[in-house]
Amino acid sequence: MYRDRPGRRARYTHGNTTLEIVWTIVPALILVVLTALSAPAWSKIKMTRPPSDFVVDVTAKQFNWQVKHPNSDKVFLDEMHVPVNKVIHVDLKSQDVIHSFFVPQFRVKQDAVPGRSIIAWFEVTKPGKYEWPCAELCGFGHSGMRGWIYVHSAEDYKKWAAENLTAETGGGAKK
Amino acid sequence: MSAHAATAHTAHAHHDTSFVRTYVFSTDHKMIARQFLFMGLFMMIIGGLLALMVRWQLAWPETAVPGLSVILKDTGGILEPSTYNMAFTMHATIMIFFVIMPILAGAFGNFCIPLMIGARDMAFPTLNMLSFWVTATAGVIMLSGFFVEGGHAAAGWTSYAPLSAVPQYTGVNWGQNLWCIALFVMGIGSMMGSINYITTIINMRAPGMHLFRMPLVVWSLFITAILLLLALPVLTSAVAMLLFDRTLGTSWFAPSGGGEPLLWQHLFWYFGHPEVYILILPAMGIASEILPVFSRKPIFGYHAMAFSMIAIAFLSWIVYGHHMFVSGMSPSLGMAFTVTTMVIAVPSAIKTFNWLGTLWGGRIQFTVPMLFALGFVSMFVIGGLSGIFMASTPVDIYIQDTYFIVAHIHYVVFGGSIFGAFAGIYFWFPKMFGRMMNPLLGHLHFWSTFIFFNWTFFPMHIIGVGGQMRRIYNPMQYEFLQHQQHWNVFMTYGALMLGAGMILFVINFFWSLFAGKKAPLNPWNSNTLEWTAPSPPPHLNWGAHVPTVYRGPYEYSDPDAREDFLPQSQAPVGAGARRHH
Repeated sequence: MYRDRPGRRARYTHGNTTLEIVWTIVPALILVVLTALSAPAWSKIKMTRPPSDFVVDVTAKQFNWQVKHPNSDKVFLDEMHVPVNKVIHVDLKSQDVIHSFFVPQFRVKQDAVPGRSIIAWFEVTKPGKYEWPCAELCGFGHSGMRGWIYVHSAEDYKKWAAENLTAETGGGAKK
Repeated sequence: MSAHAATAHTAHAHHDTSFVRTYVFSTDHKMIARQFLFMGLFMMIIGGLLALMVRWQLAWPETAVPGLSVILKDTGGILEPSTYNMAFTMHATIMIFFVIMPILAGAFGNFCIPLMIGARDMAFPTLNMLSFWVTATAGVIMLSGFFVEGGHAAAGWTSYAPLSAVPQYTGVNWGQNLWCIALFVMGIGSMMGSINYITTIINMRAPGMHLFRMPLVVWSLFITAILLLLALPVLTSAVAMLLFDRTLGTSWFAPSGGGEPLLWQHLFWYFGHPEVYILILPAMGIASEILPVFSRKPIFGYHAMAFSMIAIAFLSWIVYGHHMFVSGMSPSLGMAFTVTTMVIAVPSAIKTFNWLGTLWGGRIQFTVPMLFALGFVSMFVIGGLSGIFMASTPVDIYIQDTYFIVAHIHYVVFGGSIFGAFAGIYFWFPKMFGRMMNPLLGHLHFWSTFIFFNWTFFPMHIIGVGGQMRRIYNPMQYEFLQHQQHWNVFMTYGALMLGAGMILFVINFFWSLFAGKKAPLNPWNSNTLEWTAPSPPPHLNWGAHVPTVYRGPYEYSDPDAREDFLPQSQAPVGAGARRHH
């Protein structure tokens, strides 16, 4: 449309203040709306988490997830079992480098930082087997550092726990 | 003109013209600019080949990379996970610190600043020479890491501690140390350059060159220099601390000794986010220079353009936390960084609208530099918009550390900075080397770069939303990623052709250097001062007098002027007598 053609001169203008104001304010308003939409969701996810008595203890290391279920000291490698429709707290720690707890289907991601204990949480509405990769570069074995999260119905979970978790009490939800 | 040239010749005939002083340890800002350019282009070849190795592995995991068996004899050319980690770490490190920074800030900063403000050289020519040689030394140190036992740094270009702080965690010892030392030395070189740029722009402008008559590329380099001066020392200190952790047993970052891993991230990103603008601002300046020339129109909203760059520079200090939303940093801080990050999108939007305003009603000439400048604007829009996704914290939780981020960063630093760098090279080549580049090869280079760039990087958004993590060795190890593996193959074909297209540039560059058509004084009918100096400009740039400036840099198609351009130094009618003062 504005391709160079002989005989036509370009429009001589240095700008337009009204336009400048419009294209400052309109994007600003859009961004205000986006911020207003983001903030409550963020607050719901990270700042006020729903309480839960189901705390899974996860300690990451090169290149495994070490999992302790509630009321048990038994350590599972790369395997977590949780009941469906229940808020699950994951108490994340790391014993060496930074790892990242990522379950794509749950839309959850939280770094595990050595020296800290960070709570991530999720609630799954569909039983199944979900892939659980590490999302932060953690060394040469980073790729392939991956676990599975098994989401059972309430009865199935009870059954699994009875069969697989040591019966001794006192372990409990640590902390 | 010839009288001026003659005076210049006699006045400076006594200068030492030995080969070493002219080509190696030169204090002439234009020679230093060429040195930075050659260094950047050379390193781009290494960085590009590393990228192709990474792409090959992602498309056809654990198959031999063609030609690599010469180097990786043990594995027959197959990348091992540790070699793969090294490849992407060094690809990013080299491209950011030894390609984009030397070309945009080093080469264009040195070439454009004195010539476009009407100075004869930089304020501190010897410091300027040192700045190049210190940076070149840093480059040599960085490359030497490839030859040490244990391989080069493999903790990502962000080198998150404690992975990078404790040698056992990666198995890399001297590679990571040399990485730290090279960046430390590079930081010193960059500081020398930035002090020089700032001083030159403040003190050495030609008569009549008010701040608001400066070309926008000079504004962009001025602001970049300020960011470099303030941001790079943070990295320099951080890598020194990291090196001390690794070698002297301090414990800044490793919690086993009471250190704090997040401290590294705070320091790194406090440098790292201004750094992003260090990489993009000069490209914005170059686009702002080229769009008016080939639209034959004044830049739309000159003051808005200058002030939006100043706003970006200020805001760039308070957005860095958006790299750390899921790092374990306080969630309330995350909220604050969302707000600032959203705010920084506004000046970028202003710039984009003003570029479009410049094109509007223009008489557009689709030369090669113009195509790259238009490519810059369009790719920057995509890169900018994908940035807003990350600014939104709840969205970022999912896309953090996926290929969506990889897509975003490549749209900004390749589609943005590298397109800007190519635009600048095609635009100033005639002045820099005194010869024209071949436009046919240039057009082919542009179209292959533009098509294959999008071919390679656009699908990264898709697989990123599909969940593919960055920095993984083999996507096929994950069940949820297997169904999108065809995209990885598709992108690698694009990357290979993108790389092949660069051969056109190399041919064009070297052929034009020696056999290109001789460049006239002002091949693009441009207004700025560098086009009044001979091509290439001699030592001290102009003859007996530096030009006097009478107007802003973008007076194109003024209805009162006879021609469609009005150079900054052309005296207004009746003011000719003032010219020789």
